[in-house]
Amino acid sequence: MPNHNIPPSSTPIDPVRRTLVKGMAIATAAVTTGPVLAAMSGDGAVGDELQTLLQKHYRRMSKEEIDQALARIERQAMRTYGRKIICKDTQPILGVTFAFALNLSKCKGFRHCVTACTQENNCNRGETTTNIRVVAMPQGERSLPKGDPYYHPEKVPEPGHWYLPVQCQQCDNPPCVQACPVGATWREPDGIVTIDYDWCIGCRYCGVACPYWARHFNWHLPLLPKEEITEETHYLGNRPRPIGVMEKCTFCIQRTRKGLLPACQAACPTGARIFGNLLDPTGEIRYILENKSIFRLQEEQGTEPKFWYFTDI
Amino acid sequence: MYRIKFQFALGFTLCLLSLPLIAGESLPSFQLAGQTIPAHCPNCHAWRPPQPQRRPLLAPHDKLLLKHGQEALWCLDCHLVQQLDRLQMRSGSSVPFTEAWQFCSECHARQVRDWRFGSHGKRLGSWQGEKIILPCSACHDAHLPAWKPAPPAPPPPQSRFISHAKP
Repeated sequence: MPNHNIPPSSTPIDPVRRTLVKGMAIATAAVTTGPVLAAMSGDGAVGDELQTLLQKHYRRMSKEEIDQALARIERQAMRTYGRKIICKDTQPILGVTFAFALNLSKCKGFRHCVTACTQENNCNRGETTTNIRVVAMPQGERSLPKGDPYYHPEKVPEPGHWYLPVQCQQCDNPPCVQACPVGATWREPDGIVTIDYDWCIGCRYCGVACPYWARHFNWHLPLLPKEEITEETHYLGNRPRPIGVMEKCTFCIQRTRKGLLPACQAACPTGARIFGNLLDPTGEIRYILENKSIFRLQEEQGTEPKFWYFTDI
Repeated sequence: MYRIKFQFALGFTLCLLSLPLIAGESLPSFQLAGQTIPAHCPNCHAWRPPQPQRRPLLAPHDKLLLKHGQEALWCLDCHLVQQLDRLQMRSGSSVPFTEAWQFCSECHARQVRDWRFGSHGKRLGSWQGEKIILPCSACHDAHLPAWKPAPPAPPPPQSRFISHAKP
């Protein structure tokens, strides 16, 4: 026997209840979207996080959008580290391709470049995110895995060792750029391979693709003492990085695009590091390329590095 | 006699002709940075002339470590006898300490050429524009030119998960 007490499905819903449900939905939407919209347009902590999430790729942003992003980065640094920084977006200089040359006869392994780089580029002080590694190699050895980047003898140079500083080689055919699934890393017109830290998804494919171990991952929010933060920063360079993104050497983009020399070159006590414009026919780099016995690291991989090593002899 | 005159005239003409060539291949201009260490010699030798004989250096020179050129050189091989704060060039002229690179180039021509073109020594300031470079004495002690071993900066922090220690 069918139960006649159950009303048929076509029974109309009580109009009072329907109005109530409608009203509640509208009220809920208004209550939630209002603050979200307010937060997005505002410059509070939540608004800045949302702006970071919804921000476009660096190369697709307009001038105004970049200015907004720079202001947002400065606010976030103030909030996280309590230090006022200046974030800029200095554009590449026309007719300049940066290149590095390193004299292996002069490098004694003092490692001042590493310290200066970490300081200049606001690198994490608590993790292995140093952009330069000076590898102590046994005499006669050329294979990178045989070297020791953590050497700490009383005095350098140690007998029977030579020192090979390795950093991003700013390849003209960068394998890291090809490996990135989201296009968060690319080669700038002046030859510097850069990362948009806000576009990086942290998959670390680029770190695997790089044959020079030049890319490092921020496993934690960078540990930065307030008084050690470098104030002059660049969007693609040394601004404090968020957690979960890759970072690398950018030839000190914030310095070199203004005409200064990179921090590692400025710190080197022996003058082993030479930096300049590859396209300047009278420059130091071209003199070295034309007159010295040069080599590039792992050249056989076809990465076309813009980083040459040479010796005095 | 005429032949000699002709040769002289020809040589002079050739010299004049080659001047623009030399000027065209001029070395890059540069500016020296940093201070030059003053010599202490004139403190005493201004009134007491130096002994010209080569000899082992005794007091008050015993603090002076002379290890340049495997100890083959001694004071007056480089310093001008009459004025010890100048350097004696092979040509007979002399240069002050601020122009020491000219004197150094007499033996270390390759290094000084590399220095002028930028592959030896250190450039300061900017990678473009006028070249400001450190003079020889900024890095090399003229009496002990070799670099001395020194303690390195601390190693980078190691990952907690991967041991890079050597077996």
